Amino acid sequence: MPDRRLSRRTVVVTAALVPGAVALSGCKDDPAAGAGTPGAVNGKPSTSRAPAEETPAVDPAVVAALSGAATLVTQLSQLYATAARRFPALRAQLAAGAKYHVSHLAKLKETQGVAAQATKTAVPASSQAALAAIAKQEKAAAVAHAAAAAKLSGAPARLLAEIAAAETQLGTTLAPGKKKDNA
Amino acid sequence: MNQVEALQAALAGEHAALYGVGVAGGKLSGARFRAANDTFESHRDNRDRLSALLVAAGETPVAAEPAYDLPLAVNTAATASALILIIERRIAAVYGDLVEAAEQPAVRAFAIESLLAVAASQLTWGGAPVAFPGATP
Repeated sequence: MPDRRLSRRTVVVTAALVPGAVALSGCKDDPAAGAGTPGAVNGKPSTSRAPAEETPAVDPAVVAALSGAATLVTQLSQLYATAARRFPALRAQLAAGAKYHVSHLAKLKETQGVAAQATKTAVPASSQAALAAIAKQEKAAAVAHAAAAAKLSGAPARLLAEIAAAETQLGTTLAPGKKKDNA
Repeated sequence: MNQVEALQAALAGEHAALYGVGVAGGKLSGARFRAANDTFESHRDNRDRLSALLVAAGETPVAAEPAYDLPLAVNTAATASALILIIERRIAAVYGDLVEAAEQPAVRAFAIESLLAVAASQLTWGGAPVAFPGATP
């Protein structure tokens, strides 16, 4: 089987570990997700709208799950912002997480109908306690988002799983007493 | 990519990961060697679970290749750790694909669990947090 051998040698670990697949950009609104019911309410499809104007509805369960995640991510973002404002010495340590949560929220909001609810966050009085609180909240968010991902499918499931994975990393990195590994 | 294709890709990735971590482990000692051993064991567990899922689906699990080209030469402890980090990053993307392609809740749950585990493992091997671990590079 010469073809097989050729691909084995050239693709190697790279192809074995990174098969060509839909990039995360596939998490953008999936037109197929809610398609199939245009005009269902009125009994017949509207002919007055151009196809380009039609916005397929997204499954309400997906919107609800992603909105819940957006609310949690917003809470985390507020916690980062408040902690960084109150403890300037933590700014560098918090910069990556703050930036990533902005990306998470933007990605979640790419799905039509997704909205985050504003909430209040309290930051502990000391910088170390604030770091510990953020780490704890990151880990809790990771658990919540992983559970939410398991209830969805397709691109929304992947998006939530990736956010949970990022939160796992951030929670571990920010946890007090994290030992530095010598690579 | 359907679920079976994603399972086969993940299994192929685990075969390659086992090979790479095995090579890297030979250049490590002490705590790093033990960490490599833990990483190897978790990839072996994943390989076995993926094989079982494929067999349960009536498919023949893809076999491991005799050898794999490595993305970097491993001749020191530092390059060994760097190789494992590369492997953990690449396999995260494979599990991201599997989460997306999963049709059965058990497969999806396994893929999510594995994605989170390799994301955490990246930190062990000198990686820093990223915004979307598991995103296709």
